[in-house]
Amino acid sequence: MKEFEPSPDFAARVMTAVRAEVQSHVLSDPWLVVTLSTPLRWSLAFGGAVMTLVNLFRMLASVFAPALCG
Amino acid sequence: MTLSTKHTRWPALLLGMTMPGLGQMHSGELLKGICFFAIYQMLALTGLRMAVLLPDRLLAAGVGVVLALAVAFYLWTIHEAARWRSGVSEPKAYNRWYFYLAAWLVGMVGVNGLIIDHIRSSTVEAFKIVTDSMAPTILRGDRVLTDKTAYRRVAPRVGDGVMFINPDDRSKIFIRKIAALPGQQIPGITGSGDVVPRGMVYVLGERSTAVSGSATLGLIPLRDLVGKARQIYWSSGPDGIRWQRIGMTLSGTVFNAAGGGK
Repeated sequence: MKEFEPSPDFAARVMTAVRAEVQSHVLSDPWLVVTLSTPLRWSLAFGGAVMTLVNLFRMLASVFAPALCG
Repeated sequence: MTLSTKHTRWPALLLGMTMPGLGQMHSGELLKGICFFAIYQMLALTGLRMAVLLPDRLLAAGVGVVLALAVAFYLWTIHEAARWRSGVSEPKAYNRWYFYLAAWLVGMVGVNGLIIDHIRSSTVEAFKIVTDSMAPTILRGDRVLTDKTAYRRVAPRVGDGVMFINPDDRSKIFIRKIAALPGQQIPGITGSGDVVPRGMVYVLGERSTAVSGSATLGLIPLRDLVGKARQIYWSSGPDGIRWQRIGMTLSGTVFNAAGGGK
């Protein structure tokens, strides 16, 4: 049997086909469209950053946010 | 901290941001995540408990160092959760959104809220002075660190600057100096029977024109003493920041116990 010799762009063509196949499943499922969307990912990243700042502020403010004293 | 997309575990990074240790839990390291969360809370709580044991002039610096360490640890746990490394197990069966929501509610809303409340009510708290009743020792616009543990360690002394609950409006906190302790003669009264009764203190402002020392507020119950004023950590007024007052200590030697006030 002659040794199989893949073309130079074999991997690229396979991966393109795989991505197209996955994308077709994603587009058919509204839930996946939302959860894998770029805006949602950026929103989560922004929310995480805000939560970090809020948590750190709460800890610092536990001491250094003054109450009023007459 | 350099985190390329290829080497970053984004879900762990985001969960780690919302709560120390939650990113580790997402990576299947439940015990490690719980330990990191506990270390973060204990670092703040026990660190501040130890900071209030420092001398007055080091109090603000000690509190600042403790809080800086807590912040640095929090940021490090985020980095540790997000860093890609081999040998970490895959997410476990608890890897569901409601687990992380419940963990966040219990951890950051519940436990962290209680710890912060405890720090403010029982360890150390900052107050901004909004009257001139203690001028010139303490000026309007000074921010003062108050030690809530002081009178659990030592008895109050004449000359101490104390925060106490206003007996006429218990939602307000006042600062005055202690002028007489239980059994001592009330200042300015010559009668031999006029001594401070057990469980009470007599307080005075520094200025004779100032309102509301014990002459107007009455004697203050010892249980209403909120804490001992120890150090000014910030001071600003109409003329801007008063740099020379920042770091000033408020020990009994600074307060002139014999100084008259109403």
